[in-house]
Amino acid sequence: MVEMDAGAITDEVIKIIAKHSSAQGKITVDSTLQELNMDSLDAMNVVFGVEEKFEVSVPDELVRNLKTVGQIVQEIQRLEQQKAAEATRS
Amino acid sequence: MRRVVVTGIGVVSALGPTREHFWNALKEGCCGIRPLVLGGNLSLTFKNGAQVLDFDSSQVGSPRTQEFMDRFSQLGVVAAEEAIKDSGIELNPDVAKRAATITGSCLGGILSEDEQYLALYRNGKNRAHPMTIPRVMANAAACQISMRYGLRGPSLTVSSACASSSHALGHAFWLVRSGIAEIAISGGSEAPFALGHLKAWEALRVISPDTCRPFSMNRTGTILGEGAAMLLLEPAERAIARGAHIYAEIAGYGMTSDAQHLTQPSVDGATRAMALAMEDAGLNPEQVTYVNAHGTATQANDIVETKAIKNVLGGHSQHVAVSSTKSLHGHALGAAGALEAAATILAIERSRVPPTANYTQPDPDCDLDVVPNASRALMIEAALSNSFAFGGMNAVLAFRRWK
Repeated sequence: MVEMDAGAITDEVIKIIAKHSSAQGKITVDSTLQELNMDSLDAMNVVFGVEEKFEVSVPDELVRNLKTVGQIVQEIQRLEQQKAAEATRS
Repeated sequence: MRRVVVTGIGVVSALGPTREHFWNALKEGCCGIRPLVLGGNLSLTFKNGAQVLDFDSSQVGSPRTQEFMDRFSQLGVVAAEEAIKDSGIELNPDVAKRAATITGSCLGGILSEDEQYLALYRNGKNRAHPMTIPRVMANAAACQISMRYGLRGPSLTVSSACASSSHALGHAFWLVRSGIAEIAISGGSEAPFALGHLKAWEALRVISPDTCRPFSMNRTGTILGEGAAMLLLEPAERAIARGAHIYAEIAGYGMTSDAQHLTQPSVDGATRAMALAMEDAGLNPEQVTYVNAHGTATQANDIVETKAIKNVLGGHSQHVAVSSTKSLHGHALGAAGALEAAATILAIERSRVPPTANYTQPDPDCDLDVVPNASRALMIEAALSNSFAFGGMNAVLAFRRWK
């Protein structure tokens, strides 16, 4: 997986969210999943899409804290850094 | 107790995407059994099935909506939509609050399950799709139907193998007859063509390598089918008051257990179920014009069912028309009873008995009038629809012409 910058990650996350949201408005970094009419099942679909796309595993205890697009992007970045660090160690 | 009538019918099957496609094929004896179209590359000893071809899943909604449903739910929702529209019933809040949704399914969302197992066990994936559980649960079709139409009365799913949707219809009939529910949408749906599941049928050695020939001497087993049928049930009084078209009356329901063998049918269990349905409906043997048989085309079923029909109808059994429409729409497991109830009701309404297709050779052990290969014009006063499941769970519905 080629490392992506925050902008590129955001674009991908927005694409995944758009697939699962019925909201019509523009999705931005500050959009909350609630504003986008997404319930807990929709959120699970988004987490699944993110995990598949970025080849990461979002821990259960963090899933419920992901309220905005920006938070999801930050979490992906954190998990990617963690993955890179582990790769370096091994 | 209230009299219960059928005012709406929806069918998706190997015979086509609507109720009228279904009926036209039954009338013309056009068989929906064809070479199987499957993904994957596992070999199977049987090659044919009665699949719903070219199903347009966009009928249930956007890709996002579809994602929440296995194919068996999608088929169920489309059939329910047709039945509700056909009935012309207005689902106002008072009716919706007391509307029951009772479905049958043998397998639930086995296609979704198979797909996830394939990804996990063979394709090296480490996570399942998060919608797998809500897609796979056997009550998923009932949930989807009740949510879609806001039907807020009793809702549940019956799973009794090949009798599932006959049991479902029987229970819906009870709920409406007793007044516990004001109306009911009820039937069954099944989408069994998952490779892992087909291999399990192969191992049981009851699937025909050729086609489904019920009651024919040279029968070689059953053929699996796919589809859904849903009926709208309501009290006769309500249907008359709103000027609805009444297809037929559900007049009785009988159920028994063989309590004997996991797969072998019993004459006693089948006989008693038919007798109970007739007793419940107040029918004597001479009033029964047509029996839509369970007629799986296995060696055992067809002989046992013939004996049971003779036991129940006595001398009249030689004058009753008996056919197995599984020879046309395949054995759709948990949807079979509902497809066959729809066939029986349409036969009554249209005064025509659908045939037993693929029949080539009389069997002295199945010496009934099985209406071979061509439908027959016949005024039907009352009819039975038989379902005899693995595990010895038997359900028989009795229908009567509405005058």
